[in-house]
Amino acid sequence: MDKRLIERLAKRDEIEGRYAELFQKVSLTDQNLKKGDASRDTDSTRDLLNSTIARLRKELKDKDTNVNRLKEVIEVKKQDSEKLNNEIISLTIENNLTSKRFADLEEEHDKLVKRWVARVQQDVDKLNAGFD
Amino acid sequence: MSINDIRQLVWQGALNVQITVKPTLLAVDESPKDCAVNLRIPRDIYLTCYLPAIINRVRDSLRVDLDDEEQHIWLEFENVPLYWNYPAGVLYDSMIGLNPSEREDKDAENSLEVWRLELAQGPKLPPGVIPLTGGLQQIRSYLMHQWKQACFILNGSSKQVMSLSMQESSRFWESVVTRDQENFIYVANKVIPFKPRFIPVIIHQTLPEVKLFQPVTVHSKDDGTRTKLIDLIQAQFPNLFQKDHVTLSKVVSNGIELPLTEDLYDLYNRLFSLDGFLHLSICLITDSEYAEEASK
Amino acid sequence: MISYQRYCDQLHQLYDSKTLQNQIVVQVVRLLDDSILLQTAVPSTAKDLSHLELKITYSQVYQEPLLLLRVWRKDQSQEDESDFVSLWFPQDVSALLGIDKSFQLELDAVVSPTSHLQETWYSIHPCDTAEIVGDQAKYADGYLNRWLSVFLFSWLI
Repeated sequence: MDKRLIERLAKRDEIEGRYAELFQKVSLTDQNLKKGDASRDTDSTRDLLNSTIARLRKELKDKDTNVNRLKEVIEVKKQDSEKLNNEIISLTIENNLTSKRFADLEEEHDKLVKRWVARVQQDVDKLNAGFD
Repeated sequence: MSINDIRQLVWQGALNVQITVKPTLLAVDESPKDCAVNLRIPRDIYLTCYLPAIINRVRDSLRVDLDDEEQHIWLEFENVPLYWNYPAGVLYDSMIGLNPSEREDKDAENSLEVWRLELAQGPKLPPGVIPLTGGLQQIRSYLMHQWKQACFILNGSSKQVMSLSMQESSRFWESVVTRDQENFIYVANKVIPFKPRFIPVIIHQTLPEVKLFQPVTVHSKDDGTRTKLIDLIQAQFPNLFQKDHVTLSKVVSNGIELPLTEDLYDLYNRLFSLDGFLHLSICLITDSEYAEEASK
Repeated sequence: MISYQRYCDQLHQLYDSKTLQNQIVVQVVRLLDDSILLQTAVPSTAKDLSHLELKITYSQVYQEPLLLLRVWRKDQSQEDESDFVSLWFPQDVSALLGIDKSFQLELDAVVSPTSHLQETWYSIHPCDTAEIVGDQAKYADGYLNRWLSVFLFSWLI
């Protein structure tokens, strides 16, 4: 079995090892694992810049949080306005229906008045004829 | 050729890894390609040991502060978060569903194997990912915790690990960090017995979703014969490895396919990872391999 | 050491006895197949916290009951007293909750034996449980109760 495993592991290493030189080997005991990279800390301008960047990143984060909060507000408002729009539409429909009913009623009313006037006229005519 | 040669190959295996940053974390005008970090990472170590090195290299291209304590950092492969608490090679084999013979068929003189990962940050960690709050010290104590478990499984007590002197356990951790196999094996040999009670095995299944199995695996069966890999795997995945049928899957460990009929403890002794467990991943066979199997 | 079957029996007895349900700090108790999920109030020393999530389960590796713990805290970004809570993994959870240092409380990845998914919990390392609880035959029937009084009630109440 050992021979077979070794052959397979060697083949694995051949495949996984190609172009390994393009990939950096990092020692875990290196200074470069320490926060902020020691070589930079000697430079005071760099320090200053780093602290400015840190401050700006924090500001950016606050702004991002704010943007997200405002996005949520916009979302809520959008829903509100949608709700209002829907209400307007339903009210308009209701209004239309009412207007139509009003027009119908008005027409009916006119008709009734006309009939009533005609009838009164008839009665008057009859009465007048009786006098004659 | 001996066990030691195999253990050495296991210890020395390494991967080409390219880490880019999630585009949402990048500063304006930075592209993920420009701040990619290319590292050669040993298979048998936790990826997170390299997080500080990665962070130092990408820090200047980011719009966010990676040291922000309210945020968490993790690595992803194809948008799936990686559980850093398994060795890098184990994650690689299981997450890409490595089929060694398929890879060999496609391999050419100028082909390049790269594992592309993404660095992510957010206020909430993906479920199951252990938060990193204590740096390398936390990783060290996690490793010892795993060895206590492995030791208990092997010996029925964690005594061998608990009784390591301060010096020995420091040397053990340093051996991992400095990739010094001699000191690692020195401690491992104290823990690993000639005849164990049970065998520490973790099985990784990635498809259809990431699942983990930690079966109680005996060294010898009731009839006195020793457990073979096929016994374990048939009991755990009866559908994938049917008796007297075409097997639909392979068992991969350390980037190679394992012979199913081998003695499990022999495999453990040769291929165990830095955490004292034998990690196995299940990969599906290709269509052509299936056709070949079926025609036998 | 306790066998899985015996553990399950004692777990169901424990649930039926309402020992957990009767504790003032315990808010929610749920019995799953082989584990009990608890939600409890936090010790008064810990401010800003919402509640603790505890799970009594079984470790196949150690063949012992296993106590898992998670801390939920009130979301700081929410100014008003609303129900937003999130998981929190403080560095020194023992100190935060006033748990004795002799319990090795560590962040751990626990693989659920049913779903096979990895979950993150603090766990109390169980390797010397038998010595602490006492696994002589005369204690066997009350093993889980004895375990509970050491590993949970000693610090929670």
